Order: sequence, then structure tokens, then C-alpha cells
Amino acid sequence: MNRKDIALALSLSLLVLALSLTISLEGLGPIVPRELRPLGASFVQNSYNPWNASLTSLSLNVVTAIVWDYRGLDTLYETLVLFASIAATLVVLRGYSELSGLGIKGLSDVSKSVTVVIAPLIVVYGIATAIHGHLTPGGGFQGGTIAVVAATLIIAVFSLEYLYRRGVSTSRLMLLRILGLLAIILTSLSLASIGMPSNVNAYILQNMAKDDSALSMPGVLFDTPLAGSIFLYNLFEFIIVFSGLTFAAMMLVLRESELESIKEAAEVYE
Amino acid sequence: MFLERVSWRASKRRPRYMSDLLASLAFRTAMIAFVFNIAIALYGVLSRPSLVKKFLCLVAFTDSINIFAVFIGFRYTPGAYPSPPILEAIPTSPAEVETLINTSVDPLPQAMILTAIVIGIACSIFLLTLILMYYRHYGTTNIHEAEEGEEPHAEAL
Amino acid sequence: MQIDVLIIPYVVIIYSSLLSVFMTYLVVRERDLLIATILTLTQGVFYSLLYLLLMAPDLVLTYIPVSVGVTPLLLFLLVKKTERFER
Repeated sequence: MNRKDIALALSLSLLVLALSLTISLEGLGPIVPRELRPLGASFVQNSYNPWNASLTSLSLNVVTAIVWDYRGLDTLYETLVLFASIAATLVVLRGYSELSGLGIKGLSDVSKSVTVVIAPLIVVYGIATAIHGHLTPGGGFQGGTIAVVAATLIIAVFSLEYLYRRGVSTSRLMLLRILGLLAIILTSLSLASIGMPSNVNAYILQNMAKDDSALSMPGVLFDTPLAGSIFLYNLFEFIIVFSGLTFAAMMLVLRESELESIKEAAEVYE
Repeated sequence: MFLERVSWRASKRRPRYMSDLLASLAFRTAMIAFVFNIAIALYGVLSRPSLVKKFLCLVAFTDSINIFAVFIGFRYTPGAYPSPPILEAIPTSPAEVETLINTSVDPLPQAMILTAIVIGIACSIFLLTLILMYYRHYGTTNIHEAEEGEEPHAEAL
Repeated sequence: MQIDVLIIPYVVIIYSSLLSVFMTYLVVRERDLLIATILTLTQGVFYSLLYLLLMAPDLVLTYIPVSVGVTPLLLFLLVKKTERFER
């Protein structure tokens, strides 16, 4: 029991005390809230509301509408953070070179045959979750993380070599990721770039028509709500999350010989 | 005098449903449980010497904070359980939107936490890579042992 | 006496939040990193149950693959590459 432990215990108990006091004095709102907060209520009211055309996004799922329409700029920056954190992985593992032709080891034949059946199903389920994100629970982030499970399963049950032979290399995933990010940025700029030459008022990240801007993304496909750009954003975000997290998992699961090449590159750099 | 106040409060807020009483208990228990989760996980991050254990505690810490934020958006609706913030009927009438406002939970914390979870996993993978490179450099994931031992790359620098 | 069906979700909220505190305590205490990873996974299961009861289906769809699929798998691989026991 030295001085460090006592300081740690004191500070943590102070943290618990302060948080509990804040909660019990109803500092974070009433403990049993019965009403929605005004901000949340306005989001719920306007998310699917064709009778208030200037504020709606025609999305039945309110969470997706907030993520990609009302707070779209936040999500754009968070996508950039995702991009940056995976680029940081690449910086730590600099000098990494793919070595193919090392042979497939993997797990037993039973697990391999089961994975061959299951993995495509998981990917299809992820895509379905992503493109129905405006109608049912789901969206680009959800579908992407579901599909990443299939990729990590293949890496664990087969090996990296299997993915390389199937044409899934880290450089191609990086390219896919950059293309997805580019597609999101182009979609966010599309209405503004259409409106600018013909001198029509339009905004960046605009989805539905506003009071002073008649341009609009397609809101309805046949008789199903399409929610305009939210559908496109979900699709591209699926590509970004899937390729980005698969890329990071592939970088983490390096073989010993590949790690040696990183060490040599570090020594050369120093 | 104190007893009078208590009985006044009890008469003022007499629960109409059995779930009314239990909901208030559930809100208090869950919030205090998350506060304790945050404190215990923070203790693990600060006190344990192994980097992998620090990482595990950090994951528990971020998850506790996320679920705490979502819990603030939860609400109690008398007589029925709240519904998710998703409209069900196509085509929709204005009355259904009004019903959703009266029954749904707050969608804003959910939308904020949704992106936080995905960015959290990307940052976790970065941290895992850092731990792997640390182990390859020092031969241990224990920070105290690495402090005592001499650095293998000291001459190269 | 008739039991209100509505109390069941609140009972499950109390149960799983208390168990998640116990799981966090076990994660901090455990010396074997492989078992600690499995305990973190168990805590993730309780949290996804809580997300479901807090009426956040979007978060359930995100949190289950992350906490039960990707993170434990990568941690198993990391523990295999580094060391299993905390000293």
C-alpha cells in the first residue's frame, strides 16, 4: 500500500461520489423521464413527415436520419477519423510487404466447410442491413461491422494466404476505401454542383427540397420511401467500414516472416 | 416531521402501476451500476501493469460510458413499454407520427453512440497493433519490466 | 394476484446491469488474459441485452459484431502472439 494506491483510491471514490451526486440531484435530467427532450421530439416529428416538406428527410428510421441528414457533417468527419485511425495502423507497421506462397495451414476441414457456407451469408446479411437502413434498424455502420465478422472468420479459419489467392490484398482494400470516401464526398457535393452552373440555390449535404431550393434527391422509389441521399450514404459507408476494418484486421494478423521485414525496414530507417 | 414529509411524498406520488415502482428502481440501479463500472474499469486501466489488461479495461470503460449515454435517452411511458424510434407503417398518417412522439425513446444519443462504437473498434485495432510492436521491441507486455530492462535498440539510435 | 407483464423488462435491466458490474470486477481481477478476454465478451453480451431493452436496435446490430465477434477474435490472436499470463 504505497502513496500511489491511496491517491488512486481517493480519486476514483471522488469520481463515483461526484457522478452519483450529479445523477441523484437530477443534473442529467429527471431520473425517470416521462417526456422526450424538445430536440429529440423535433427529430422524431420531422424524420418522416411529408406534410412538412422543408424539414423532412423521408426516412422511417429516425436514427439513420440523424446520422446522415440532420447531423451529416458530424458523420462525415467521423468517417474521416475512421480513415485516419486505420492510416495510423499503416504508419506503425511501415515497411510491411505482403509475402504470398507461404502455404495454407488454417483449422480443420469441418470448420473450413462450415465457414465456406456461412461467410457469404453473413456478407449478404450485412449488405441487406446497410441498404435497408432507412426503413428498418440498420445502416452503413451496422452492415459494415456485420460483414467484417465474415472477413475475420475467414482470416482465423483459413489464413491470410487464402484471402491473397482470392484476390483480396491490402492495397486493393485501401483503394476501395478511398473510392468509398470519394463517393461520399461527391454525393454530399452533388446537388450544390448541379445548382451552381444554372444559378439555382442549393446547399452542400442537401437531401430534400428546402424552402428556397427546389432541387432534391429522389425521395420515393415506386411506392417505397428511398430517403434520397441517405440510401447512397449507407451504401458507401458500408464499403468504407467493411474494407477499412478488414484492412486493419489483415494488418494485425501478420506472419512472423512479415514482421521481420518490418523490423529490417525500421533499422534501415534509423 | 421527517416522517410527515415522507408520507406526504408517498401520497403525492402514489404509483398507479406495479411497473411504475419497478421502473424507478431499474433507472436508479442501472445508473449506479454504470458509474461503478466506469470506476472499476478506470482502476484497471491505471493500476494494472500488463498492456493487454489495460486494453481490456479500456474497452470496458468506453462501453460503460457509451451505454450510460444511451441510458440518459431512455424514458418511462406509463402503461406501455417504450418503442424504438422507427416508424412502422407505410404509408404513414400524421396520427402515427404523433403516436411515435408519445411512445419512442430519444433518438439523438443513439445516433451519437452509433458512430462512437465503430470509431472505437478502429482505434482499438490501432492500439492492438501498438501493443504487438511494443512486445516485439521489448519482449514483454509488462510496462514495469520494460522500464527496468535495457532497450534493445539503444545502440542503433 | 395478477402480475403485470410490463415489469419483466425492468427486472432484466436490473439483473443484467448488476451482473455487468460483477463481470467488470472479474475482468480487472483475472490474471489469465485468455479468460479475461472471454469475460469481456460476456460483459458485451450483457450490454447488448441492455441495448435491446433500452430500445436501441441500431446499436444492438453494431455492438454484437464488434464486442462478440471482432474484438475477442483479434485479442485471441494478439494473446497467442505475445504472452498469455499477466505477471
